[in-house]
Amino acid sequence: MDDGYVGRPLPRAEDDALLRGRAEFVDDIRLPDTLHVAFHRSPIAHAALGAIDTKDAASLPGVHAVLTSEDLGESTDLWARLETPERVTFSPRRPLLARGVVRFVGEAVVAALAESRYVAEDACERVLVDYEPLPVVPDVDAALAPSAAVLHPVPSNVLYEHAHERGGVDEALAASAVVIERTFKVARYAAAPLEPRGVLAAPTRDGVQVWTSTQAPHQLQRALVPILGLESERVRVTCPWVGGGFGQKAHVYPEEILVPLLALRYGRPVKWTEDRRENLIASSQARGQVVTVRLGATADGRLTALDADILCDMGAYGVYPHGHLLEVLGTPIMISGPYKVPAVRFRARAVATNKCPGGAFRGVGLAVAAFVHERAIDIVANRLGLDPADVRLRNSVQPGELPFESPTGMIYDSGDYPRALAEALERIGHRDAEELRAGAERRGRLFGVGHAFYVEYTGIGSAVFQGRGMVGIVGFDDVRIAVNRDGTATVWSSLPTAGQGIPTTLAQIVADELHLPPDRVTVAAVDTSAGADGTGTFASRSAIIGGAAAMEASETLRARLLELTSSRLEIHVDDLEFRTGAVGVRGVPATQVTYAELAEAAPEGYLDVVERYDPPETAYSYGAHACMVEVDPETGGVEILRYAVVEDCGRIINPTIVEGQTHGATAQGIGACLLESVVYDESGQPLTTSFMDYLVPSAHDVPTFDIGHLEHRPRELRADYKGVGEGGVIGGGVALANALSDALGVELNEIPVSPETIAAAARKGGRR
Amino acid sequence: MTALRTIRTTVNGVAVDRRVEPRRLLADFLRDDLDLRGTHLGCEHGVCGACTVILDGAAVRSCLMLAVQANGKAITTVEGLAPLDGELHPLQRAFHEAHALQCGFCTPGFLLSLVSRFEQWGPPADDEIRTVLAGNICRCTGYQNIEKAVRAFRDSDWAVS
Repeated sequence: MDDGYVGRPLPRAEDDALLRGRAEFVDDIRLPDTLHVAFHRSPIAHAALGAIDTKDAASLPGVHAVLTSEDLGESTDLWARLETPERVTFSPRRPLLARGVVRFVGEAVVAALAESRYVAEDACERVLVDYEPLPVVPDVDAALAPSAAVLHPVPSNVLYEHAHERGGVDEALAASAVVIERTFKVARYAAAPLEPRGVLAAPTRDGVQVWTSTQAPHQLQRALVPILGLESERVRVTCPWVGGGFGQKAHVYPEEILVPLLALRYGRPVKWTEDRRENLIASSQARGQVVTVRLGATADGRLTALDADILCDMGAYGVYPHGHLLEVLGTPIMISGPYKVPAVRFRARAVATNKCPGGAFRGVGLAVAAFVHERAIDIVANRLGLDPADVRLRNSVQPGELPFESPTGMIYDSGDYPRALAEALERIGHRDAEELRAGAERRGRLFGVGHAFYVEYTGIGSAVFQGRGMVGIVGFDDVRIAVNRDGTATVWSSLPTAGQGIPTTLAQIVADELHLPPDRVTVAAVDTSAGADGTGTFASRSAIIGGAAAMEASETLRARLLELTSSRLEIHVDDLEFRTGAVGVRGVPATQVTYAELAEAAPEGYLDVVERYDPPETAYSYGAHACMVEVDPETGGVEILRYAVVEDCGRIINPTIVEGQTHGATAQGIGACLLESVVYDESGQPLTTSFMDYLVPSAHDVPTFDIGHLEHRPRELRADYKGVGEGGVIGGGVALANALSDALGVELNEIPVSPETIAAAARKGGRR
Repeated sequence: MTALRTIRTTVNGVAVDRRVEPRRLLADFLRDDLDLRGTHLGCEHGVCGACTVILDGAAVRSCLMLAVQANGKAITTVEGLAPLDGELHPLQRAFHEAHALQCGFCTPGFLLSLVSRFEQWGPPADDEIRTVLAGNICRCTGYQNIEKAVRAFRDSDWAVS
């Protein structure tokens, strides 16, 4: 169907409401008699809770209630069930309001419910809490010290540990011509969607309706049912417009349980809207890893063995329902990247500290894995005096070797990795490098080139989640399609959009499958009462799984349309054909029955089906980044001169959207390398609590990207798509770190790098 | 609660007369009292620019102003750029055509910053566009397509209002 709508750069259907400011985000929804919640959050990283005095707060006019954990009970705790018994020592329970002890700055202790948010915040200021400070565990080193305070009722702060070896690593390293050993550090980051989180809940006749800014409304619905003690049909979660998520909104948070609970308890709508400080200290953060690696190679640059020790700072709790397993699973299993390393060993540990819980952020685990393997490759190449591109090409999986089982057991399905790198180098004009370097040097500036491969698992299904022990994640998604009596189609799914363009791309797929123009296909807002169950939009799964479910639903619907037409016209289905919005008789252009007529004749006045898709295997997207930078050695300022990405997400549904995803994700990779970092001091105080301290890239910090596409389709999947949302952030940070290391002649093995670090490196570097 | 004050403003060309608490933020006044919810709050400390509105011609952060400070002034919000259900403003159309928005939460702020810039100082040169954009944060697009939209709007037969 090459003349179809899939593959075309259609402008987005959802833009109009957003451009007019008329799209309703959760804080824009108004219900009469709404009560507003504000939280008193712990100002101390680790403390025993003493007396909590709420009398003064409760007496303020307009205050409806002031609640502590005593008003809730343990049955409301969030607890991620994780079934990897040999590796998980403990999955911490997370009370909605701290009970007995606070474990990070920002943990909610008291909730005030009032007639307005202003008054609710006034009430929080009048709450008096006795905090009895406990020893603070500010980072992984402190957490592992023999004398460390232990955060949870288990013997140590190591809450997950996993080890793996394939091939004889020690022997292979001993036989290697070179072995490098380095420690790489990747900061904690905040996903920082522009719309903070928010929840609104209202009692209904027999239950509750919840509106929340989330990537996974069905996940919240499944969490709410047992806690609220209601039947599933009585708990409805509706996803309004979502102002960015990037993984942070893929979890269920305490506020999303508490707000519906209060709405039911007090019989009125209740709303909480997160402010930016809350978002930066108490919504999940991500990455925060220290990885020590030994990598061996032969004299001609063939990799021999990789040994990695991975420490993940998981913070005070896991997230729901993923637990504390996100980074600690993702990084080690992808630690060898696209390379054929004969021997690989890793040990990965998730360690509890007195920080905000660690959760998902675009490129979970993968961004750190890529930072490690791509920095390490450059270091090995430098050590051997080889071109890093040659070392990459020499060791990466070749097209004829796919599908390829990686040294950690992942099956890479499709693609042409060497071509991605070769094309990225072409696009930045890598042959100009020496000329540009000389020109920069004449101006007293330093020039560098960097590149990187990335490979990422996308569209993971139930078997993978179960295998990882995340038994609370169903892994499938449904698409329901109705053909309406006006001949249009409506599509429901479990996959909300937070800017990814799902309402447009899903409509393009359904338009082709059902022979309708895309403007006659409407993708509805995600609502758990709409008859499409599932998992949610994260880990680059919506196109793969939602696209396949939409194809299956369309196929079923097409069969229904044919049957109905066949019985209506008394003509065999083999003699029928699809036309735009109609089923016609082959060879008889004048005879057809429109979808509208078929829907009209149905007992319900519409025809609908729902189909489920659960991918049988994982699709591996990959690509290459290449960039050129100039550094001002005096100021440490960085200018990105050229930047190219060549990515392979299989068949492209909408090239404009794919490029937009790549631009945005790569900008986040650049932020991770140069600007962004969640900083805590030794006492566990967060120091980056506003956008003046947590620096999100501005238009000045991001270059113009040149994007190329390869389209190798996945192997065993119903649809021809692979995920594309995350690759930019995975390859972006390390390509830039490699370019800066090249410019400075100094290894930059810790990100982000500040201008001070760069200027200091320039002073001692080999290039000047 | 302190005594209410009366303020008179013109919002999107319509005269408005309201009593507000002195501490009420202009953003909250627009969103909650006037139901103009296209003005978004992304940080409430003046950095992200999502809450940008035009006040007597100048782009201002409505999260850093009190409603009482708008007394006697004229305000344009995103709802004032295009008539309800009418044609989009050409800058809005340029954003649509260039895929210059993803989640769209920051978009109203960008639109108003840009309209104010074009009205007050005329069109930016190529090497000025990124500077014009740098006062607003977008977490989704990487800015490339916003720059493209601004360029297309500038090079079209534009008129800001």
